[in-house]
Amino acid sequence: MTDGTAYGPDPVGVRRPSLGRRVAGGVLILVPTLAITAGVPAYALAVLGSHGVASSVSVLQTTIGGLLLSILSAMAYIARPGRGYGPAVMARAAAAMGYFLTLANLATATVPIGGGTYATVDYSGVLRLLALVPTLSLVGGALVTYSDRRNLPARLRREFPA
Amino acid sequence: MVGKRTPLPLRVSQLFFALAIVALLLIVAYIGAAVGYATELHQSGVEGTSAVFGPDDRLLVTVQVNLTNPGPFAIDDLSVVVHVDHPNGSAWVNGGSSRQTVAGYSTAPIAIGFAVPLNDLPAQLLVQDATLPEQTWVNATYASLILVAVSNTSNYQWGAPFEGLNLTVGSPTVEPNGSVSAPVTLSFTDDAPTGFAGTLSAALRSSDGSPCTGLSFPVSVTSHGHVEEAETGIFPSDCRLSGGSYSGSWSSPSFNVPLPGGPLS
Repeated sequence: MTDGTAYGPDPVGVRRPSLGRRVAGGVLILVPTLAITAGVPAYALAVLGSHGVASSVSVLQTTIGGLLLSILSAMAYIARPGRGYGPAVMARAAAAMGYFLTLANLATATVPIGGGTYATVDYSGVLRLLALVPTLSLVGGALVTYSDRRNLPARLRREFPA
Repeated sequence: MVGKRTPLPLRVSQLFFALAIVALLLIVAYIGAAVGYATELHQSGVEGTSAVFGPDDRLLVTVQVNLTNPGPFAIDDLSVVVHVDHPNGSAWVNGGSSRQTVAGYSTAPIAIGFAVPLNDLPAQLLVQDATLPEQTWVNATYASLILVAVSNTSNYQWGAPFEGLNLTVGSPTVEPNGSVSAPVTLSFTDDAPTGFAGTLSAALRSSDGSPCTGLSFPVSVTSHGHVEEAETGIFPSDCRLSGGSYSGSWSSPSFNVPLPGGPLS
């Protein structure tokens, strides 16, 4: 089933999924993405907190960040058969970069070791290194945007063959 | 006409997306391994304590601990800072280690040194062991990414060089010239982490505070050694040492300090 009303007629050799199917797929993507980007950090912070580890990063911050990234991931999926895909990927990558770099400024945790000993761990370097991942995606998204403006059907034939 | 070849920008974008996934996997694996090995880091207890006398009447104490790094990730810029407080709570001794690197799969000795200013020592710490509050900070970079600062509050067991200093006057004997002689016994234990040699001078006073005589005790003692030496003191016949007191001082090539006095036993 195609969705000619959203993007116009499918190019030759292309069969784009309908908007309904894409939204359904986006929702399916949203659930595991949300679990990974919001649920895992919240669970990790809760476990660490139960062991007396005090973190400067709050569950609220990771939940908001994870929710934002999950929604942008779902939107990118929904926008995949059109020219909006590249910008959506770039928006998700930029948001992820901002998320990691913002958390990097807060990335300290105080760990009680026992016997009056405390360790303060600064893991901002880890988050800055993780920001490399969306940086690569940002470049990829920019290239997709460029390519789609010149020749969208070429990508659609690869990703949505008839 | 529809071209079959994927445009170059699209192929390059796929390369970047693939690189992003590979980078994510590598970073997660790196961090996971680093955290896993970090939990196996362990520090030995104190491997040894040594001390030497330095310039300006300072006792240079070095405590060595070993740090075992079982993983492949280096510990860089490892440094230790130690503060020991006066019994009254004010800062007294600062010390620490030099910055060093503990390579992966290695055990490195960490030498923590601090200089105890003996001439700034509260008098009772020369003659009395004490438990002093101590703060220790350890800073390091682990796996090139994670900065760790460990702070510890504990107690430093100070060993006094003249622990239990005491002068005991024995039974007096009247000499033919009318003066009085009596054996005076010096006793103390060197609880400092090093031995020393020199002369302990003591001035003995009668119960009314008037000076009776002065004595010098040549002393050579090893760490944790006990000193018990007797010298014969000659006193004026009117000097009543019962209920008297003494004051003392220590002089040696290593250090020179006045010693707190006390009642004669």
